[in-house]
Amino acid sequence: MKTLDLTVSPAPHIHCGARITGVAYNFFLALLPTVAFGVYYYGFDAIRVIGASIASAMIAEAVFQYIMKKPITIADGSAAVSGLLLALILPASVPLYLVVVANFVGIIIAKQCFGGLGASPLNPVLVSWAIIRVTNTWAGFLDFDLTLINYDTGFLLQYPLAVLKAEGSAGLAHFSLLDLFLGRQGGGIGASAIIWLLAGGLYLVVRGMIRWEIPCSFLLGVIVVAGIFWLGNSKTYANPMFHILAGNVMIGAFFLSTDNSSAPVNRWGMVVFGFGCGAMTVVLRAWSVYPDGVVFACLLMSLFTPLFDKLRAKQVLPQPVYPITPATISGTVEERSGQ
Amino acid sequence: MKLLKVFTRGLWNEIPPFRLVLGLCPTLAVTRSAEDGLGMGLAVIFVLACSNMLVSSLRNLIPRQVRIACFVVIIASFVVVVELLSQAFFYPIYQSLGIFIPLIVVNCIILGRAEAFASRNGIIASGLDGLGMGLGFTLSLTVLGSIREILGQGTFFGAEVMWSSFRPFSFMVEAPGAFVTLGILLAIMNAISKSHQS
Amino acid sequence: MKEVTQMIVVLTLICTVCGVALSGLLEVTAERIENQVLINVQGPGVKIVLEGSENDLIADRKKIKINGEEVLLFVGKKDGKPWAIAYETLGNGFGGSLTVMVGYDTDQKTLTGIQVVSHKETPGIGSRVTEDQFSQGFRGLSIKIEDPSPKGIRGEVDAVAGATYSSGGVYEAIAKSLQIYPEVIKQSLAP
Repeated sequence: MKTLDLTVSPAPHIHCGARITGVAYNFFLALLPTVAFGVYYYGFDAIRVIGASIASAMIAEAVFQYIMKKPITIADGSAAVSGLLLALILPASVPLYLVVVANFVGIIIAKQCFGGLGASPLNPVLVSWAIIRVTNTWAGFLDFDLTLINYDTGFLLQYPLAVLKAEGSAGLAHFSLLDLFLGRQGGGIGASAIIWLLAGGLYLVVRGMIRWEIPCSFLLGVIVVAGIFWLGNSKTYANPMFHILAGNVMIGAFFLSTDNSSAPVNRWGMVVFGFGCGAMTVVLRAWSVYPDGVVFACLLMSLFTPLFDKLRAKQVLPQPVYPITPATISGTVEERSGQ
Repeated sequence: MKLLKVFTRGLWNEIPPFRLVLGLCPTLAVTRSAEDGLGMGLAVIFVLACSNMLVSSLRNLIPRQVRIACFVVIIASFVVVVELLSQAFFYPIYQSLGIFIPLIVVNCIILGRAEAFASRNGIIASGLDGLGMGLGFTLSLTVLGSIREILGQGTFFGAEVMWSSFRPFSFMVEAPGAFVTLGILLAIMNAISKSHQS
Repeated sequence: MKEVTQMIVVLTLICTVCGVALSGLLEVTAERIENQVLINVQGPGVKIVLEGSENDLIADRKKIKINGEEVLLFVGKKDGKPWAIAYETLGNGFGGSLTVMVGYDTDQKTLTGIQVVSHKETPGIGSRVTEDQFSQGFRGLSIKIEDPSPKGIRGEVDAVAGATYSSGGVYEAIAKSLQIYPEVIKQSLAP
């Protein structure tokens, strides 16, 4: 009979310090360089969007919890992280009311209605973004090439994925991979800060805030599927490295798809989930009407999370049957409680 | 007094789409604007009140075994009446409601009221029940349509109501907007009646 | 046995009464419905292709027979004199048949314009044949073009890019319309 080495002792206990707030602080710390990058290039507008987004996410949560007469938990920082992440994938020029509506819909409908932190089947950030995207009258605000035309960042501010959609990979000649890596591309406030997202993501992986399986298999999925497309027809489809470095893939792999409540919990589940996100991203980029597919890919895969959770779930050992005699009763109880 | 209760029941306690959760197909599909919702509601009032009254007056004549067939024939006839009349007199509304007028035949509320109420009660009570239920249905559809139209198109019964720089939230007039709005309205209804009870 | 007879009798009776009542109602409303359809479906198209007419276009319609088929003819009048006529023809588009209203200036022998009255084309792609940009191209086209076939008309007016089949349906309808034009004129002048 295999037993676990768990020691159960009466109070007092020593707290190791891990709290929900701690997770949120670590996310903020990891995203700080990315935010700095966005503010450096887009100036006050970036601060405006980030501020409004964080504030409206927290207000949405507080308002809902107040109305529902639940304990108000905005101090744990999870809503603030959602708000920050949404701001980082929006263009700096986006009108503020749009940010507010998106956050209200995302936080209230996708998160709080399902039971709050840890219970949402979809990442609220992704839902917020998708709401803006599928609203025909608002989708124009997400067109990076049109809305970012007035910013002077010292490099060609063009959204590489829109170019890919319009002209095929032939139009990408003036995007060198180094430029993309250094963030010299149009895009969301923080989504193009590849180096800083990578650094922040690795920090979170090292600290154990996110699991390495999802980002790794996400990037692998992008590389494999983009590679297949590219080998099939390199005139229409871009090479895998371009797909990794352009658009939302980096922020998606480390920050959007790793949301605790919407991602699977088992190792193999996570691997398949991440790979599916990456693969679906490339498929959507190639065949859908939208230039970038990261958000929709993650949403789609989140819906399959309950299935992924069944992959390699821990085997439930058959309970041993003991002949019940007065002599064995005490022993059985002890052993079972130890399981 | 009892008749008044029969009438008002459909307006709040048993308001069809929200409380009985019946007739959701038109509730979700034709509430893109307040006008469509109201038009659909009026058509349903007519069919519901008339079919209830006719079913009630024939209730002792119709054998139990074929009652559903008889109800359906009666309801279908009134639906055709509505379809022809709306074509003749309100053609634009007929155009925008389209297939959903003929589909009133399969609306659960109408057969439900015929079976559950009209086949057991007198003509006046049945008529009032039909009117009340129909009014409740109309009210719900109009409210739903108004919310979706104001947010999704910035208009109310076709008149501009939002400020000039308002960019409509067109998500609301699409199909998912209908589900979200219906869900929120249901939640509000439940919250209100809960606080009434306690 | 008695029960079964009652069932049959009641059901038959209800069905008969309903059927008779409905057919009566249909009879009564038929004319009004036809008018409403004319006003709301064909009316806008007729108004555009016969722009400048001073009479009530819907009221002044005529029914004539061309090759055994009934054609609804709209006549536009200026200063009390007829100056233009319009009638519909069918063409085959991508999603089904297209109805096209073609207007003719009988004095100048030109087209006053065309309007697609009803269609089943793909929204956003084939449906662009209903837009002014395409239909404006037919305004002023001479009746006596060299080749009054769909191909010949395509040579005169450019098709909508990406909507080859839908445009083809419109050309086909106009070609049919041009073919029966002499016969229509002959009959429309007759009292």
